[in-house]
Amino acid sequence: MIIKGFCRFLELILKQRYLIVSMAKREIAEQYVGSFLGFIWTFIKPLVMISVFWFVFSVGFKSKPMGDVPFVVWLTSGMAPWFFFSETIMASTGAVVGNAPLVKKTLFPSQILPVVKLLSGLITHAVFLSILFALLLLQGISIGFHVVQFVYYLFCLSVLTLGFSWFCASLNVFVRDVGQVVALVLQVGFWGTPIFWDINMMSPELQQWLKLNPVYYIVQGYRESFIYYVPFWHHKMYTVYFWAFTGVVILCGAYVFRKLKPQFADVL
Amino acid sequence: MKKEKTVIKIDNLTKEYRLYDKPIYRIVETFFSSGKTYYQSFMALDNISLEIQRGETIGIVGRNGSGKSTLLQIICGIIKPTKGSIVVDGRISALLELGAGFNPEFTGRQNVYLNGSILGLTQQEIDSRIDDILSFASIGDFIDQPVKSYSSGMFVRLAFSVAISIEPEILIVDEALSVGDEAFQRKCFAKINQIQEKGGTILFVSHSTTSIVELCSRAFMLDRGELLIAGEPKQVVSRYQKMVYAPDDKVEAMKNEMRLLENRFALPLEDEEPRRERVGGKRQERQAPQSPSAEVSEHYDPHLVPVSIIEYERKGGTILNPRLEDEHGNLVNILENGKSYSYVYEVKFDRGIDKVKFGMLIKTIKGVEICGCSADSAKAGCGTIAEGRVVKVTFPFQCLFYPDVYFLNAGVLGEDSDGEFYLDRQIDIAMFRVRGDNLKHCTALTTLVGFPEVTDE
Ligand SMILES: Nc1ncnc2c1ncn2[C@@H]1O[C@H](COP(=O)(O)OP(=O)(O)O)[C@@H](O)[C@H]1O
Ligand SMILES: [Mg+2]
Repeated sequence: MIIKGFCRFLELILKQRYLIVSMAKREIAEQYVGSFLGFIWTFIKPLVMISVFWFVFSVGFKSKPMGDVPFVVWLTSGMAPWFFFSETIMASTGAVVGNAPLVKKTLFPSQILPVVKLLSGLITHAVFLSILFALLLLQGISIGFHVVQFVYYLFCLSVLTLGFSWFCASLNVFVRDVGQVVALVLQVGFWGTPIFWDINMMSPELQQWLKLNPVYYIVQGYRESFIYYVPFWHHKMYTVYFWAFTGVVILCGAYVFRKLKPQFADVL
Repeated sequence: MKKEKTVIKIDNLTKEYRLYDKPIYRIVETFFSSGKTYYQSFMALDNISLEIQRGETIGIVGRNGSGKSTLLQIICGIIKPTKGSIVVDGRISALLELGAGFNPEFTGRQNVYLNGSILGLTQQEIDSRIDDILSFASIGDFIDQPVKSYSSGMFVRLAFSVAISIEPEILIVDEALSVGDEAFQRKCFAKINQIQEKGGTILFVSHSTTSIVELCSRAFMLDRGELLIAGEPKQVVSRYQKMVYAPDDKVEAMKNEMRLLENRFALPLEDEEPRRERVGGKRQERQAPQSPSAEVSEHYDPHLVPVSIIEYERKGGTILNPRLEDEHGNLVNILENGKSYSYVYEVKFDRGIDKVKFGMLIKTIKGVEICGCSADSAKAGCGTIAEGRVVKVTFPFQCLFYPDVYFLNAGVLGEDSDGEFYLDRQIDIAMFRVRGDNLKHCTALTTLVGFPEVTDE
């Protein structure tokens, strides 16, 4: 049954690819419509964010380079997946409610809304990654073939994000508090995930606990793809754990969304 | 045209809206069914069964909140029925709400593409249709302006153009068409006729009973979630209008009467004339008003007021207090056939003017003009008009209308060096109902003809 549902979803994505792409495009254009700088804003935001963190930690707190890589490179490679994750979930949470006229008055497959958000989030993510590449080049760090491993981690991240997104988007239709809770949890998550601090500062037991956070698997994976070049099969147990966790998340997300979807039009 | 193929079949369909005290209960109940119910239920549709054949054009009427939109939403598959079954066979294109899926910040063209893809078209498919869409919508250069700058008429034109561009087998329209101007409505009707000819099925909700009579092959009347009657459009519409304009306490009786009709879901055609003919000079059998003796013969019903008065821009005058009076000057709006009444209004002039004309017009519900009058101020003996003057205009008339509901227009024309223009003009400004006994021999709009004398020659 799970497999069948999964196939049906893939089929839908394929069938609606034009709609998904044009909605994602609209999503991006919408952010900048009427603004003077337009698409340039997509670059400005991550640049400012990275600069602030770099300034605070490198200049302010005098954080040391991480091994032989400068702190800012290490930081950016951890921040990129996190922002993709949190922005997509935030956007998806409000997605069904935000498209109420569509859901209520047209025959619209609302389960693609998180996919649309995922796709438009990828654009911002690409900007993040291009900044990361620029930094790598500037620092004279060689970029090897291993880099392509990040595609695997991006896939992991997308599946995890989609699961959470379905879950939050459908619940938020009925209980609008979900949006607030999600924002809060993501805020805490940002500080609680070893993104701008090193997990090795913690005691070994605490490290075990911190690794239960599935996003850390990806943060670590991004760093190992861009900086350290460690292949993912070096963490066999962690990979198994991650996929078990993600599997549960995506199944729960899909189940909850499907159960609640017939009532969307009733309450919107 | 293939005939007699059922495209929509609805059996015992019920839609219950559940109103929860707290939204969280809805979630709890969805996942964990316990014996207890946490909601109040509201029946938006109650046990409806109907069948629609391919090629039919169905009009749906009903008062506000009677479940028309809900029914259309269910047919489109947007909301799920609580009970009962629905089978739909054919590609649906629906126009349920103006601008659903339109983004106000984007241009019309961008919205066409987006809407097209929601309807399942690819970029190339839209490319090949865009010229047709634009020419049908005829909004000119506005197509490259943000949609938020559109008037609602332009909006509906664009939305309708996109909706029909996929050549739907079933077209569903909810009240949206009423926004467009007359020329565009004509065009829509022409398009609808074209879809009809190709064997397409059309369902639409409209408050314009004229369009329902003109366009539909069958009509449904819903009330409070109940399918009251179905069948020949004119019959359904006239019963609907009677109910809408009836006093509240009589509605239930009328509904019961309809429920007891023998073939209430298949009201037959009244005569053999083609259905698309205008109502104007047509033979039409109407029921005499129910139990006329049971109430005062002439009186004023405060509920009998028009819902949609059309006011034109004022240019120096205001028509005030349009009303009907009986011979003793009492305010009335329920008239007795055969008696004399006056149509009275006051006009306040905000500018001085030499020549004015006072006008009035009486129309049927379907807009057929029955009689009018336009009188010169000079002949009426009020001379030139000074600024600030208020005059009372009285049009006496004898009520020879067939028992039904009628609407009144009023207008004041002024004349200056640029020619004639309306100082003020208001359409459907007042309405009245006519009652009368022993008129069963009359048909059509008036009762000018007496009972025939039949003698041996
Ligand atoms: N989502 C909803 N939740 C609760 N009640 C609803 C909802 N949608 C419609 N209703 C109720 O159902 C009834 C029918 O509504 P609707 O189909 O929109 O009527 P119509 O289109 O004939 O005016 C109304 O009384 C309305 O209040
Ligand atoms: Mg409605």
